[in-house]
Amino acid sequence: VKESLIDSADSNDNSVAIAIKNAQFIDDINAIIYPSGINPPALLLNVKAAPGKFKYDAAFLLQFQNVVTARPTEDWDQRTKSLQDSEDGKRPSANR
Amino acid sequence: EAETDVVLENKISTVFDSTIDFTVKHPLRHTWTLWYTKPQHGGSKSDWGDQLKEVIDFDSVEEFWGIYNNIPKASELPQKSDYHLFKKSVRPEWEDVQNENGGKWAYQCRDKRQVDIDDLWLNTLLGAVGETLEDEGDNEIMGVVVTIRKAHYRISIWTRTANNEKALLGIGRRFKELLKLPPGESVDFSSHKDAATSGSSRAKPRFSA
Repeated sequence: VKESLIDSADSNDNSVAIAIKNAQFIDDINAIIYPSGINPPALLLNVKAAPGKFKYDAAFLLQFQNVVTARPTEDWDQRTKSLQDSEDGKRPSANR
Repeated sequence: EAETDVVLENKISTVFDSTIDFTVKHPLRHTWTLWYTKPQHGGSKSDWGDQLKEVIDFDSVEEFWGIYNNIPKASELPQKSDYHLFKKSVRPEWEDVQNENGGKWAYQCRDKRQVDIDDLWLNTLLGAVGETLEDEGDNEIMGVVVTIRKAHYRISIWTRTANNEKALLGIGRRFKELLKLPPGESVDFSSHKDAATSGSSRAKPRFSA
């Protein structure tokens, strides 16, 4: 019963998880045009980058922080069980 | 101009265009695994291996943030817990054959109120997944760890070797920069073998930065 409640509550989150799963990896980082206000990775980092092998500076990465907020997988609760169990730091793990 | 038109026709879009409808994601150079050490309650030391839990693998910037934004912050973790972010297939333990000749840079903070551990740990994570902790070809970074204890926080960067001095010192300098350490504070490097023989965190540092 508990699991199905969680599933329905998370239905919005799954659309992000599915979008991430279905997206292709960027091959040429210089071909990406970002919306105005979003800066590309520092150019010097990827001067000699092989296709799909990029470095990203912290300032670039931080731009995603408030954008990708939903759970990134459809089975998030299951995958993060160990963390959820211990969030209060006290619950015994006897039911495992 | 011509290039812009092609891109628009192919409708390449990122998560910045729409969070639920985009065509490309940002690859990381490695697949990373997030591990979590659950606090043990009254167990013996031999239980440690059981407390180490593999949480999730990921290989894109988008997944990294989805994970980071949906797990407890370092400051919210209970005492005696750790996060470990390691390259996939490397266990975050000295005993892993891939770590046995390695070592770690460590920064330990005893006055927990003086530091924003969440900010320092996030900077460390971004250095790891963004691959900016080392120079091209160094091939030293194995993973990063945040350790939450009653008396201190510690952030560590684990490396593949303990003797590649030039690369290791470069990593130490970058570590110090991202921690924004005040002048006079330093980070120390010790080999896992030294730490194993002289006790965790008591090993004489091989290098300082």
